Amino acid sequence: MTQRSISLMAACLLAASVHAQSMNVRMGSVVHSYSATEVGDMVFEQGNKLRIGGSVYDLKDVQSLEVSPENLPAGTVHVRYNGAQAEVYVAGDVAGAVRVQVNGAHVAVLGQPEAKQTLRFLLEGSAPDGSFYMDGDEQAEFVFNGLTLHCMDSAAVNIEDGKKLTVQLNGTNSLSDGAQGSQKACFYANGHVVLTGTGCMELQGNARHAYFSDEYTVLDGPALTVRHAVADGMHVNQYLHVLRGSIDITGMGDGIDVGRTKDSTDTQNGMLLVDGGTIRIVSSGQTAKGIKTDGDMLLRDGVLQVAVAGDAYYDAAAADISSAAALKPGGLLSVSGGRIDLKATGSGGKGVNADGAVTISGGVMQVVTTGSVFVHGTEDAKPQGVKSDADITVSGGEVYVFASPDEGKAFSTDYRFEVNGGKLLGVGNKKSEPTGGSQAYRSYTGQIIRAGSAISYDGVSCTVPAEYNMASGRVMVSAPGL
Amino acid sequence: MKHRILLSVAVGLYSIMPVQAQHAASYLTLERTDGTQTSFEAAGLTIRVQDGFVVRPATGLPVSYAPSELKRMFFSSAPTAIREVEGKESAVEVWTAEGRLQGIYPTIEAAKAALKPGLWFFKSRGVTTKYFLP
Repeated sequence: MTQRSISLMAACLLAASVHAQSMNVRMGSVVHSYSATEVGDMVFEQGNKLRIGGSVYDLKDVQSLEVSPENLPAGTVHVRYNGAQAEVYVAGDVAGAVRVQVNGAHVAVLGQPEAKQTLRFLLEGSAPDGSFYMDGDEQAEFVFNGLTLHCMDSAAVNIEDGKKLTVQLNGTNSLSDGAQGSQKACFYANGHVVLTGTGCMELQGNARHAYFSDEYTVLDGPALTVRHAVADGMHVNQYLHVLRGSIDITGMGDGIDVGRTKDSTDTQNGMLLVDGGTIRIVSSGQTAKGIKTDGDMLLRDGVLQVAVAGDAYYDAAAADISSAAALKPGGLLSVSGGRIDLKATGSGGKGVNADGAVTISGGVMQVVTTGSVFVHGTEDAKPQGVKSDADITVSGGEVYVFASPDEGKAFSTDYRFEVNGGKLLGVGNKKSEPTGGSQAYRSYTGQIIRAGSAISYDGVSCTVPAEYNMASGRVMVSAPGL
Repeated sequence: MKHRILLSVAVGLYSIMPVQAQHAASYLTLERTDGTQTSFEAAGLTIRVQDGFVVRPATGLPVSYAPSELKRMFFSSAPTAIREVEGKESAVEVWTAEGRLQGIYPTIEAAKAALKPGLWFFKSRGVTTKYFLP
């Protein structure tokens, strides 16, 4: 490309921008911005009012009218945070569709009932004590463009609009909230959220959750990082669907908690669906779960790395022991693709603790538990590798399970454990053998398993996890052609 | 060849720009209730509203109005027909006796030098002057 060509193209684009003027009506921190080429007649009425488009301004409320070289796209609300202040620019075509309140760097935008269009919000800048609140009855699109907000006493971003919310993340965005607030999360959305873009968003949930959506969330591109969460890193109702992008969570509570909504017509209720992307979770809280769902977990592709370190404890109110688990599906666990690494190191901690069936038909899955048995009176919680309160079925993929030397079972169920295909290697202190299935298996006892070493049984080979040692264990192996 | 393709793309981009965007809103015209109009260069213009209605062009002196004497305002790509151009201190408009705009000149002297002998109306900074050039 020649320099002349670049200059020519730049000149053409510049020509367009030069002509893109607007008339800005400034009322304190709120500015209504009308395209100069579309605004038409601005009519003075009654000696003290000015009608622009469909809006009538009392001149005593207006500080100034400014001709700006910038032109805000139609339907857009542009929020600019700058330290202790924020300015909100509202495109003229939606000036009557929203009511905006600005107090320092705290911004509230309320969609008016008569507004029947999708609003587009552009948020950028930073504020050491600022927030964004929005409510409305229509779908809305948000662009976070290098947004940094800390809110002392509430959520940094609170979107009460219960409709579909698209949040595009550009650049690095960072949200955190105050520990003393009563908010549910640092980022709160009442509706369903689709996260797009190629940027990232870092969250710190200092009061409760870091991320909360009251309906489903779809991750389609960006990187979401939870640096800290008192409760759940992400609490999502209905379902969480990961298509692309990444989720990194470090916290004390559950990493991801997917709840079931009360609406019986909601699809995929309580589910986690992973079709790509990367999920990494490290949770150290007592009994914390890496990922917990009220419904099913469908892992079909992508990368999942979950490590939990919390100990079990006896819940006197429930008269039961609660223990940590890397995955805690309230329904079934289905693994058909992807790469999954699960680790639980606390007492009673499990790799998988499923209420429903566990079905593995593809992908590569490695599970390791190293904790001790947790005992309370006559009850105990054992550090099992993969535990199910229903059937366990393996028909494909590769599964490597290293259960704790302290009474850990690689596979634990009171129901059927069938192997019909795939490569399977289970190491543990207790016997763990299939109850049926079409694929043969072999068992070995008294095996010495050393951390980091390469092991191979009947053609099934793997490297022992760095934190796992077994002085005298049982090995169960199954593979095609055995 | 590359250059031609890029040139075509550039021209194409320009041609698909919204038609309205290509017509610059170069002037903001204020119309009084008596029908007289004043055009200001729009770029950089600010109107302070709190103490009356004070128009501050990017260049030139501010002009004050009482909101009650204003009827409307609008953007246009060129100054409107009945007007006084302000915002350029020395600019002068020259009109024929028949009411046709002859041209806009940077100074009165420049206008005099450029015009043919005859009767002309010069408008500058809100003042209209009749000139007869010998």
